[in-house]
Amino acid sequence: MTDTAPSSQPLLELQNVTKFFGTNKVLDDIDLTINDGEFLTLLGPSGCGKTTILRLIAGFERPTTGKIVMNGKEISHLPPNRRAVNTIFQQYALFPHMTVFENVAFGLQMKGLPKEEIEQEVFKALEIVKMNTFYTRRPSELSGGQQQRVAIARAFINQPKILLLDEPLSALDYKLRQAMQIELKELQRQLGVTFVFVTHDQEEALSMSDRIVVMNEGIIEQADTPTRIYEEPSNMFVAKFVGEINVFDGMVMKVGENDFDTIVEGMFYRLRKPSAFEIARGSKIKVLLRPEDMVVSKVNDPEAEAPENALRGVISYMVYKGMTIDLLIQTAGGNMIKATQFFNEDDPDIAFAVDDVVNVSWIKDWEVILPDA
Amino acid sequence: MLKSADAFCRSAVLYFIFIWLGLMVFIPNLLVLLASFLSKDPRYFLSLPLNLENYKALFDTVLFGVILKSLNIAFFTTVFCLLVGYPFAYFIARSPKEWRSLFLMLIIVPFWTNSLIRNYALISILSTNGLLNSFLLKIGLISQPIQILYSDWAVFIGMSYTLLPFMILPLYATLEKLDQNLLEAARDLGAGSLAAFFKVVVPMSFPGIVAGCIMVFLPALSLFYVSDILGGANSTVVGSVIRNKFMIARDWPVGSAISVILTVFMLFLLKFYYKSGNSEEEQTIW
Repeated sequence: MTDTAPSSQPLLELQNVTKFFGTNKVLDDIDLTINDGEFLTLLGPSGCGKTTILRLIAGFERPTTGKIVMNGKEISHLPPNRRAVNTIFQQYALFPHMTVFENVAFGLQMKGLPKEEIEQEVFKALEIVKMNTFYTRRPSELSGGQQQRVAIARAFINQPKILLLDEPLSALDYKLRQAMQIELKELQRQLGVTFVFVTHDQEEALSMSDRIVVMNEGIIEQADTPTRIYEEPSNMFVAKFVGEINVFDGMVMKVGENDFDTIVEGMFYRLRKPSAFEIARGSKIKVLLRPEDMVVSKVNDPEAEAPENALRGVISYMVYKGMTIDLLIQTAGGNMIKATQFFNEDDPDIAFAVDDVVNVSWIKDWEVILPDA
Repeated sequence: MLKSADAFCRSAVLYFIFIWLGLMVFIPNLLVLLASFLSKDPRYFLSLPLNLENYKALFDTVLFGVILKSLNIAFFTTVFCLLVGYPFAYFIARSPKEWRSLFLMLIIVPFWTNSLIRNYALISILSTNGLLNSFLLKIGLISQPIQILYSDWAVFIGMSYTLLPFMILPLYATLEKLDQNLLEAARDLGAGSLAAFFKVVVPMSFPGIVAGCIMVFLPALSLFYVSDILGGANSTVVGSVIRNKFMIARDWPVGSAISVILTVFMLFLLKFYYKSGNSEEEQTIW
């Protein structure tokens, strides 16, 4: 749980926040610091508590115990209208009885700004989201993507300290979602506002965030940069939730200075010692590997013995994906290994076929070692 | 085979509805419209020639005065029902789901008793030594019993009591559908709870407000038994006038003319209602 953003200035803190709905505990003693200007994503399966955190920050819910602190001042009990945060709702929640202009102007009207200033600001905001020609339309006359843009303008026009986004892209189709991801990221850079983004889509989280908070059943599993979340998951939940991963069981045989010996799938391996926990002789471990870290090579003579550090297996399934080829390899021990190979027509080694006998190894030191809990 | 049977059923149902509406609604109304242009006849009720005298009669000072007074009572009944019914409907729509049906039940249960009987029951409450007067005396608001029964106040109370559910139900229907996210969005954008209510909830429930007002205002013009029972001799609504013209004065043409005016008025209000609903999406409540 290290904070890797360099010039990090804490803007908002959740301190020991627990939230009950009736007898149902949805957040369990959450500690979370959100830094000024960062794009933070709350990622997790549905029901993990990520939306509840968003609603607590917005002020729609109050923590059962614990504190929410913004810029050093506790805001746990302030109503939503007195917090310097704005929300972009999942279904946009545009006011259907108002035009685009009136929707975007709403926040400034509530602040009691003079008419001319509101008009100026609204058109400036609509310009940013490229909706200025639509200002007389009603939300019902707009497409999903256009409504999305209006909702974004309506939120950031109030110059909030934090912009909360509750799965704002989930209602859009794939192409549009891709485009909006880039636009949102660009907008965040342009405005310099802190974004707290909720999603259950790990790809979205990885591609947009400065920092990802992976949640499960009301607790934070890991809060880290996308790279570290993906490459150095701190527990099995994160490893399995984010991306595809191969999990091997291992038994520690001997512990050395910097490395240790283990048996994986009946093969002997000498691996680098993990830094996160102490490894003991005789203990069980998990060895985790991403499919793209696997190295697969075709065996021409099945009778020949497998080379050192390689598992022998048979390709049981193959998916051609254009740039890559996904293989499902069954080992002698009966386990399935997922391997992604970059497709290269010049390389004869990658011309795989189902039922081919292959050797499977991995790029040294790219494995992740976790204790077997 | 199945498809044609299906199509047959569909057209049969449609024809049935058209014939029903034609026989029971269209033709009778047409007859009333025709009658309003005919002359009074002592033997056959109606006779030629066609004329506009019946409509002129509406501006007769006595009749016109009754219509104005009736409009007045209907107007205040509607305003009162709206002011009381709105918080009521809002409260029910916002209460937990498992409680809502109970609350709605409590509103609907009185319907199981004939409203005529319920209005008779009001007599004992409103009479000079009735419950209301005893209560007001007891809390010291008045020192002598006041005459409520057989006044316009009694008619107003009776109308409001009888028609309040017709205001609450359509309001409830729109308020219940109101997207809770919109309220949260308003609060999020800096609106206090009052501002959120008047800027979002009230405009969004406008179709319900119009529907409720129509459903209260029109009956309040024509529920003659309420004014007959509670208003005594000096209080009359348009409905009583129509009844009297037909049943007592045997003046069908003038009675028809008043009916036609009421119908036109209602159509006008309905058009207004649909206009208010269409601005958002097609949403009908009843």
